[in-house]
Amino acid sequence: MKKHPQACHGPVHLLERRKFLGVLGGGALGLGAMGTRSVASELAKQQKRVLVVFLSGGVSQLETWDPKPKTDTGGPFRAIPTSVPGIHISELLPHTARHMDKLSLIRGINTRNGDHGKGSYQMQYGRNEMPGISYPHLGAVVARTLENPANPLPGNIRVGGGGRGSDAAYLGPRYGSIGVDGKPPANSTRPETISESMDRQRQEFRRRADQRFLSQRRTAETEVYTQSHDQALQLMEKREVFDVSLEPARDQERYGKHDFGTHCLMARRLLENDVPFVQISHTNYDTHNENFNFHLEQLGEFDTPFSCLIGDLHERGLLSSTLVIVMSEFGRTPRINSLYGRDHWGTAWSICLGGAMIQPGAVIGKTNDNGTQVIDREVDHGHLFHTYLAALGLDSNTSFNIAGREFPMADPSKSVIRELLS
Amino acid sequence: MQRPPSLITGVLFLFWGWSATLAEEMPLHRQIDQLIAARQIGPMSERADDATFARRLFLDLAGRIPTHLEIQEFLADSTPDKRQKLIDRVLAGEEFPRQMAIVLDVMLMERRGGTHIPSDKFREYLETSLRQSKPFHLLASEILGADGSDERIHEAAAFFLERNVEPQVLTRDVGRMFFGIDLQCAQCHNHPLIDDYLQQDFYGLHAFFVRTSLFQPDKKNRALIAEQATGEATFKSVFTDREGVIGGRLPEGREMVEATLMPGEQYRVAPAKDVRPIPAISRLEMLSKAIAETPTPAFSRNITNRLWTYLFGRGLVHPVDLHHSGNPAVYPEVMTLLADHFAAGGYQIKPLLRELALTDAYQRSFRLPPATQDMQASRDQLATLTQQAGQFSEQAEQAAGVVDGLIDKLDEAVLQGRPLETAEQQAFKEVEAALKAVGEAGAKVRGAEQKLATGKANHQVVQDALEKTRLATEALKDDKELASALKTIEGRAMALAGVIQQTEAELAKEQAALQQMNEKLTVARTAADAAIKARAPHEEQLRGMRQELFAARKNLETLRAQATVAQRAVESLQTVIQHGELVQQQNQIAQQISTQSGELTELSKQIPEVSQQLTQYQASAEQAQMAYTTKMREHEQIQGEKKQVEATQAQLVAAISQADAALKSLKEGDSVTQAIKLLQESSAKVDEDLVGVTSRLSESAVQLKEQENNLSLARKNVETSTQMLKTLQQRQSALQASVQTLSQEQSTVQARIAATWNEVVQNATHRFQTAGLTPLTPEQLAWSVLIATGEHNRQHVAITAKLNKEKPLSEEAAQNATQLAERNREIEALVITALKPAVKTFVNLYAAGSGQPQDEFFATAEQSLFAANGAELRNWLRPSPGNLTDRLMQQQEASALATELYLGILSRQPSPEEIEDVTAYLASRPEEKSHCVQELAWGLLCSAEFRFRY
Repeated sequence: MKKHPQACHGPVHLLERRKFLGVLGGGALGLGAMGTRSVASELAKQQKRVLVVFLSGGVSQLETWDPKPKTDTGGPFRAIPTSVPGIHISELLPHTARHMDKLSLIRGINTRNGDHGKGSYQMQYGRNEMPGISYPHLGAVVARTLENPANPLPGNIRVGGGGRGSDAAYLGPRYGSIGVDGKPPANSTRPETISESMDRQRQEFRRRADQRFLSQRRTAETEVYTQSHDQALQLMEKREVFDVSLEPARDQERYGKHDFGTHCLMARRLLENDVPFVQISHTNYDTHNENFNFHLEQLGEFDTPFSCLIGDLHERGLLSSTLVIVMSEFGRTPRINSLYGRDHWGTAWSICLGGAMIQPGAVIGKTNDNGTQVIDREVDHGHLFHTYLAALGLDSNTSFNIAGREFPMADPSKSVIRELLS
Repeated sequence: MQRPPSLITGVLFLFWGWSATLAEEMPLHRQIDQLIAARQIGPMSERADDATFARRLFLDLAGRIPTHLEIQEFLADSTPDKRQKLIDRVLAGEEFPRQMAIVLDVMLMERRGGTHIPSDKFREYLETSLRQSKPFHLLASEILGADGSDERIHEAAAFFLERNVEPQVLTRDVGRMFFGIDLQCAQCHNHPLIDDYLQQDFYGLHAFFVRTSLFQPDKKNRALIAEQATGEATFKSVFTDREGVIGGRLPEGREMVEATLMPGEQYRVAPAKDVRPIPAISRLEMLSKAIAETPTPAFSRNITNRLWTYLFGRGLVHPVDLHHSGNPAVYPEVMTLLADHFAAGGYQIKPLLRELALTDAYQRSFRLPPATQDMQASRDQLATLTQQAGQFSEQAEQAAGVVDGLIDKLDEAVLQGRPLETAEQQAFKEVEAALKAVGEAGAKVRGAEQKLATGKANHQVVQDALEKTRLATEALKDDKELASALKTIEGRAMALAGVIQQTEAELAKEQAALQQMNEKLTVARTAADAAIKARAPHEEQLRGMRQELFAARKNLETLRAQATVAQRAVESLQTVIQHGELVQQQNQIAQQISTQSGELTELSKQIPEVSQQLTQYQASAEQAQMAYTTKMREHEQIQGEKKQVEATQAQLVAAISQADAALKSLKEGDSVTQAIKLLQESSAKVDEDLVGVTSRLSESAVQLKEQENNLSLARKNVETSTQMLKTLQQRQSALQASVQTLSQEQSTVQARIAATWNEVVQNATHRFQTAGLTPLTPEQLAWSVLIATGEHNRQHVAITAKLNKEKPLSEEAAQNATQLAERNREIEALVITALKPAVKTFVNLYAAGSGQPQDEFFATAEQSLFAANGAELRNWLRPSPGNLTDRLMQQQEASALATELYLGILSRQPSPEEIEDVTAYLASRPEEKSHCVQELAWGLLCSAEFRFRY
């Protein structure tokens, strides 16, 4: 197996990172849309990306990342060795196990919550839901901080569904998620009545008009506005990015023709085109009854395309700059109920993540023998959110400055899980 | 613009003590302009041209750009007061209240709505209020007192209902929207970044909402607001463990005194399942009343600052919900003046906006002239300002110490009052218990009474039967059965009488018990009253202390604000000075470059001259050399000749002397003598020759000397000239190097000039010395596009025609102004309805999300794609009678077309360059005029100039 580039601890790497952090620390974040450009130009050289795989309903940590075989809570499945000696995961994830050397596990999560809505919010927004206060989704934060004006593609994409999500809070709709279902965005084709040359001519006229006006006064806002026209034109040229059917038939076969397979392939396509944030989801994990049958079925569908995706990102050299997170709103109870199900459980559960600056092959945190409580390095969604941002080289303790108001990027009372970063 | 320095320093004394004497004589807009002019730092823009003014005014007060007819009319008007007339006309128009309703709606709701009350309904309510000129404080009072039960103003409850009556949310948003303070971060502790915002401020406001909740037991019925009679705004800092409790207090207001009611008196409608409780004392009502009766300065400052922001694109205090001493108004005295004027004028929005629109500040251009100022005066001013800033900070520091002391004292007093609170709560519990006992005893009394009544009724029935039976037995004396029955009945009647007696005794007992309970209740109530009374002075004391604290805080805030304002002035002035110095430096460099370049030019003329001369000198030197050499040769030749002659002479002399000798030894000497004679003759001749040659030689030597002199002169000339050329060339290369260095320095300085100029422009914008660029709101953008393309007009024409056909106006009605106006209103309402979907499309694309701040600009590719490829804009630009494209198609001349195009979309005349651009565009595809026209219109509609208000 190829040694992947992310295990790079060389001085050049460190220097680059420091330089990059320096740019961020210089308050560029505080300058609004205009200010992000200097950051963005730095990032253009080393675009970072995030992929979130959301297993909705609450995947069982015992049937995935933290198996407890042969205990009262363990259930029927075995734990299997992975490509990292000493790390075992559930036998339901045989393909993923082979990529464990590129991934890491956090096994000490306690989110103190057993409600779907609240858990889903915690994990994706990094805070507890509070009445009257809205925070931006991880995707919006990423889209804003990793924005590259040279890339016309939207910065925050949900694969599956459509429309624009109102999940960017104070960061504004520019960074809200866009649902993509294999079709290009609205209005991205030129109407038949307007030829390409006509379009070019009218755009040139517009540019001349802008030049005349802006030579008198130019502001950050006028820049953003004129830029958006050019972005639209570039987006029109890149509309095929959204057409997953253009991927080779062999890959479509390999990933599987079901929705999740297609979505994984779409995610690969978008990440390859430097979309900063992509989220895909896989459902049906709320297994109050028949937990084992459902997990057998669902994880069977998950395992192949997910491992294909990790393998491909790695082989294409993207994993070192792409943070991959497999998350859920919570885990499931160690106790097996009378319907062979497991119930909601936020007290001691796990996620899997890797890529970017995440140290590969690490396990952080530990639960007790039958998984009923965290016994080492307990963390919650706040710490995770900080860690995601830190893994992208961002200083998660800085604030966004929106129209003169300060908004901390992540919960200021939480911190980064430093030991997980390489 | 340049000011004498004496004025600048003079202003510093005026600074805080702006007296009211002038205020009475001068209209508000002049006062504002004077205050701004007095504190001008750096350059100030001239008055904007008419077109810019009109566009700005229409956008602000009518919510759209002017139509091509309106702008033409205004530009053609040459009366001197035409701006004031236009302001009055637009303010009197139908569109003003509609536009203002949008502004207020977006301000108050941040695009929330539709869950309980449709947004349109709330907007209508605002519009109606504005049409009725409802004073703003009464509007606010209505909104903040609305529990949803008043049918006439049900929509006013939207502010509460659309926030789900969440107390935290209401506290935050009432603070932000009505008082300009965002207290969110002071919820769990004093604000970490803003010294003025204390946790008690959050809870002072929170006290009004802590008892409210959403009431909607049945989803089929309208939601209402329920309010409990109990629940306090208690708090504890998560940082310091400081505890407190506070009654309702408006920001900058007095804490409200609220009667303490004991259990049993607290509700008009007591809480129960599916029953909306109504407290005897409603805190919402108190809030509403306080705003209607005694709105605080903070209330007036907030709304006037927001109205200012609406017209100027930026607040005097900015952001608008962060009023505090670390962020004071850029002109505090203007802020105070506005707030006072607004309050004194009865909280009327329209007259205030009129005054603001009349200011020079509002009517300024966005083009800023270059800065010209006396540098020395500026430096002096800077020194004064810096000193002032230092003084204010020092004073603030001291005042902060006083505030801290008062806070500690207050904390202590709160703790001391704890036992009194506990005693009161205990007394209330006893009242509650006594009330319960009274209730129970009462129930028992009522039971006994009921029982007695039943007994009596039964007895009566039996008694009646007894009478009848008795009569019957008397009539039928032998009937034994009857007699027996009589006996039975008699017995029953007796028994029943006994029961009555017994019950009466029971009742008396229960009544006695009730009496006792009532007495107990009285005792409990007396005790509770005593407890309330005992606590009252303490409460009073606390309120007094909080008031004292408030005064100390006010003092501190004033000092801090002064320090900040002075500091800001220092920074602005520093930028101006820095910029000025850079410009001076640049001028010096340019001067140097120009001098040196002049010299270089001179050198470049001199050097060829000198080098030409050198060439000449070199030529003459060569000639002189040649002449000298020739002469030298000649001279040498003569010398040679002389030598020959001398040699000949010597030979001859030798020959003669030999011959003489021979003659002496030889006898036959005739021939010898002859020979001697010959020799002597020859010798004489040679002597003659020698004289000749010697003479020639000396002559030649003189000539040679002359030639030598010539040569050396020529050589000197060459040498001097060479030296001169060398010097000149050295000077030239030195100068060239210097000019290069200077040019580099110049470009560095120029870059810094550009950067500082940007800062100067920004500061001037923040100080309202020049107009800024503000993006159009989604609604302004939508209506402006509809006006510019002529789509609005198209709808108007179509709807008018339809209405006139369906409901023709009688001839009489058509003459009647009122009826005509009514008809126009009807038409306009239908046009608005027809265009509503289009406006909604814009709002969806261009507005921030619901519940989010609406003042952050953003632009997305999605918006641009909509503009570029969306069906809407394309359809509106398609030629249709009377629309923009149609009007443009009718223009035959390119320049006339350009004028129509620019007036219609950008509300101004095109420049010659722009006419040329349009002309060339049309000429590029003469056979596709319709396409070209639509493309040109599209280009301008998508231009930055159209997107922004400037």
